[in-house]
Amino acid sequence: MVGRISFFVNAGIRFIEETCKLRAFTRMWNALVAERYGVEDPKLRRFRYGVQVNSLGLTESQPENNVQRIVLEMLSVTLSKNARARAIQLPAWNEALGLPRPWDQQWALRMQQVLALETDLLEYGDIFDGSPVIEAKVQELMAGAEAEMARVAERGGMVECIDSGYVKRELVHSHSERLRDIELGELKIVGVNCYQQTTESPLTAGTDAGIMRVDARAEEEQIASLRAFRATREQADVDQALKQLRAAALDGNNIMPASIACARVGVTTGEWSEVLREVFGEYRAPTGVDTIAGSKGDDSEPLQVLRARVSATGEELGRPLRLLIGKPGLDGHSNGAEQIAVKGRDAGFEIVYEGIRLTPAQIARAALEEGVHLIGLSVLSGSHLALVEDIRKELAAIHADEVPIVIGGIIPESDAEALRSQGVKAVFTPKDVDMNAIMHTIVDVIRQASGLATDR
Amino acid sequence: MSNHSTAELATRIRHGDRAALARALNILDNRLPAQRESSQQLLDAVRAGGIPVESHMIGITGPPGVGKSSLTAALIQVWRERGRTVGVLAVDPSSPISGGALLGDRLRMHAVAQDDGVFIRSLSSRGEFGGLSAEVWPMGQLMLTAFDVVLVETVGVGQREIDVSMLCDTTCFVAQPGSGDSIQLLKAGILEVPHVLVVNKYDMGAVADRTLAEFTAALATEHADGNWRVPVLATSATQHTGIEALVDALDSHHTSLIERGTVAAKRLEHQARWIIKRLGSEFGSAGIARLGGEKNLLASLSEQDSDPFDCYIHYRQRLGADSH
Repeated sequence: MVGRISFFVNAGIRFIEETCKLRAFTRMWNALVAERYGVEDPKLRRFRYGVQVNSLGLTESQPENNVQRIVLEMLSVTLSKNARARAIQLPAWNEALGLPRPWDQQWALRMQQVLALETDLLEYGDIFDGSPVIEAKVQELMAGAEAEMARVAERGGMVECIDSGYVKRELVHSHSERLRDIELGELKIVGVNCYQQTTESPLTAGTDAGIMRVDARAEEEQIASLRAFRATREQADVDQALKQLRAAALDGNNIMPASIACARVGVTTGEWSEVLREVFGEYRAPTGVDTIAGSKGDDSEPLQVLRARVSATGEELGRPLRLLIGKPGLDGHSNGAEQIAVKGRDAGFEIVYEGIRLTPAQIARAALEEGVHLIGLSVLSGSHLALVEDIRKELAAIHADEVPIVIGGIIPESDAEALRSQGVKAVFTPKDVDMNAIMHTIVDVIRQASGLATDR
Repeated sequence: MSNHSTAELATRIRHGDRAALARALNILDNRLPAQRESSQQLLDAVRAGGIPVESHMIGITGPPGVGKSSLTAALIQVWRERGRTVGVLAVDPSSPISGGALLGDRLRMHAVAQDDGVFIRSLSSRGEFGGLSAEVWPMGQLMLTAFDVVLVETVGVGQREIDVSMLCDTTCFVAQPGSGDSIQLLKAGILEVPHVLVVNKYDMGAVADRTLAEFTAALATEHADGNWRVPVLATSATQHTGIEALVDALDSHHTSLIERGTVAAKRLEHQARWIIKRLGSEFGSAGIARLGGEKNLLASLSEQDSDPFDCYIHYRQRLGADSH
């Protein structure tokens, strides 16, 4: 059983530290399964992991620099023979701009192939064994990880820590610190907060602006093909299989045999999960945005100015500014929404944020019931046009369409233009790294929508 | 806003118009003088139409982390199964530094997006940790005309949950297994005696049993209201056990109030306390003292069902403030 467990790991740009992180992981897992579970075969104790390297560090500005970022991140999970990744998925250079095209994905794949086939990496044993510098860093990371594991155990274990929001809160907090460091210029990002001057990139000069354009008919085609598939099934078998799945779920039995039976008769993932949702309900994880703001930069002048403006606008309008942050659709990339929520709270907004995967109807309802001044959407899936249209329809249906909408996400300029012409008041992309400026724009939009002067 | 349109708004709310309710709540939440006037007209219209005694205002309070949101979710589910509509006012603390707040646990409370029988409005405590801002009472009155049950959910620590008991027909305190502190506070009379006491997370086992026994012993007296013995119940919101019994207990307190004919008097007292609260936040305890002290003020305000805003303006004028 232990030998079948594998891990999904993320690795960032600080590639020496990341190299040590993976070495620490490997050693700790090996020791843990030997001591706790008595696994004797060292092969079965191997820390097996796949990597999707960090796309968090990719930039929209000077996107060509993402290529070297990705290569460096790849090195951190491949250089150590004793802690090498089993599978690597590299992002494309343009993931902060939009969806990658097949050619961009091919480029990412070729990076691995060059490393594996052209370089001499695979001809050597572990090149770091015996390095005192690497060893010291590994020890430091292991000590830190063990201390964190002890904290989790103290709080009742991992499940409890997820449920209480401890884990998510720590993640949100850590990312807040990172953004603050970028804002203050303490963390350098080339092309973002230093060396911003650039000549125009030929990579984005083409008619497609260097990204994949999604065919608007793709959804219809998908739906048609699903309908066609469903029509070929024996409906009585499908109903029977779903009925047995429901019975197994209700009785607390193993749902695997019933699920296999479902697959055999062509039950779709949607039908299968809907039954389980009806029986078990839907888990809403804590959002972690109730993190305590860090010490750094909280009393910075720009934040004070912003707070004063948020508060003054609230007084002019008669009640504190309320902001609904909505994350519609299926993408789970919540970093942006979370950071806006935390920043908004720190700036004096009353924030309603309910986490990922909301339906347009849920967002519209929340906007109405909570009486918000503005809806801020976050979409990184590429489906911003369709989702905004759906949300506007839902808002109109419940007579709440006067609430202004802004959106943030991976949104190409041509789509941003389309969104603005649909009535979206502001579009933010990864280029917008100054969160105070984003908040000021939000205040502007609220002031404008309420008929107040925007120069205050 | 004209008298006519506030009256129309009140009527629409009574008939379940959600957009009208949302708009009215925004007006009641608004502190601008012009909006205050609309608030007053709105509340007048609501009162004129009658606030049904059959509608039930319930306060749920307890320390942070005790599972109030999950319990609220479970209660909403049972109420909906019994065909009752529910309005929720969920109060969250605001930051003393920025004034900002993270509001709501809407989806944890009620994930069904298309259910018109539930309406949730989150509120921040506006600086009063565990306390309730002055807007909650009028909002609750409004919601009583639109829903069978109005639930006010708020964090309560020590003395602060008194706030919610001064607003609701029935107050329910939710305790954590092993919460010796709450028992001590209760015995010392610092913790207001609730109408229903719940030990949640009863799935925790022996420690929960012990806590339940301790509360049962500590509360073996009648409620100060008279004629009401405080039930001490065990629930597990996550396992969905004890919820039906809790709903029954809340209902039976409401029924007993109706049978004793005390709902109206109680609500009048809540109204009096709201007027005093607003005067207190504007003129401080010195102002209240100049009006004869809280006790006398409460007694005279509770005597007759007069317009709350008129009373408020009357006392403001006596304290020499500009009227509006």
